[in-house]
Amino acid sequence: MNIRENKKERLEFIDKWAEYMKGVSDKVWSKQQKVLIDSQIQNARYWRKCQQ
Amino acid sequence: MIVKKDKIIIDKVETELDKLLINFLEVLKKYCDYVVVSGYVAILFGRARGTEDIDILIKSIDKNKFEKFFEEIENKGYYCLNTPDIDEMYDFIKIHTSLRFARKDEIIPNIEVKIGKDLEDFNEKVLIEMPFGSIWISCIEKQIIFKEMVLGSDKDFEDARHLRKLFEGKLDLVKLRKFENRYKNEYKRK
Repeated sequence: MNIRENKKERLEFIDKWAEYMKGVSDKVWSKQQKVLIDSQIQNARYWRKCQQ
Repeated sequence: MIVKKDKIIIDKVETELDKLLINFLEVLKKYCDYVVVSGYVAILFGRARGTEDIDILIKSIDKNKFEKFFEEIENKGYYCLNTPDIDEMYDFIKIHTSLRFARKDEIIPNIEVKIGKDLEDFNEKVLIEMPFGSIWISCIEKQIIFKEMVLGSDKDFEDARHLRKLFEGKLDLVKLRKFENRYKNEYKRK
């Protein structure tokens, strides 16, 4: 996949996700988003502890 | 999500990022006006990505208040990544340099605080009400244009696209045009 195609796909996903969000309750989309955000923070904390 | 003129109500679940911000703002809001801007605003409205920092703009703060703020935030378990010296911190903030704060023993996520040069960020602020707390953000129209015309990275364009799509039909077109013209003119001058 080239850069342009990748960019196009990313933008298509952004539109799709925003459309999905409009069709469900805040609780439904935010539970999915929470998994993504919290796992990133937990990873950062884990690696910081390992370094210490 | 309920969108009103100066207020948006979101019935979302709380993330670790939200917890960090609300906890920090409990202290900051006692000492100065603030607005949350940039990436966190897109994430708050559901953008499917993480971030390493949360950007906050504050109105000017005098040294006495700043010292009290730092004493309280330090007691709450935060430290300043830039410097441990409070005089230096205040010198940084005075010259519009960001100060980064994180929980002790952490570097990310952190909270980036700087004095906002543009009063419009505060005049056009929007209250966000969530089940676990309320915060002020700079208006969505400005966030979109700022990301598209000033910041301009792929990530910023994607954030702006998400906000445009989510708030389709609900954005204030006059405001959008106003910010668009403003940044167009600022670039022309440069």
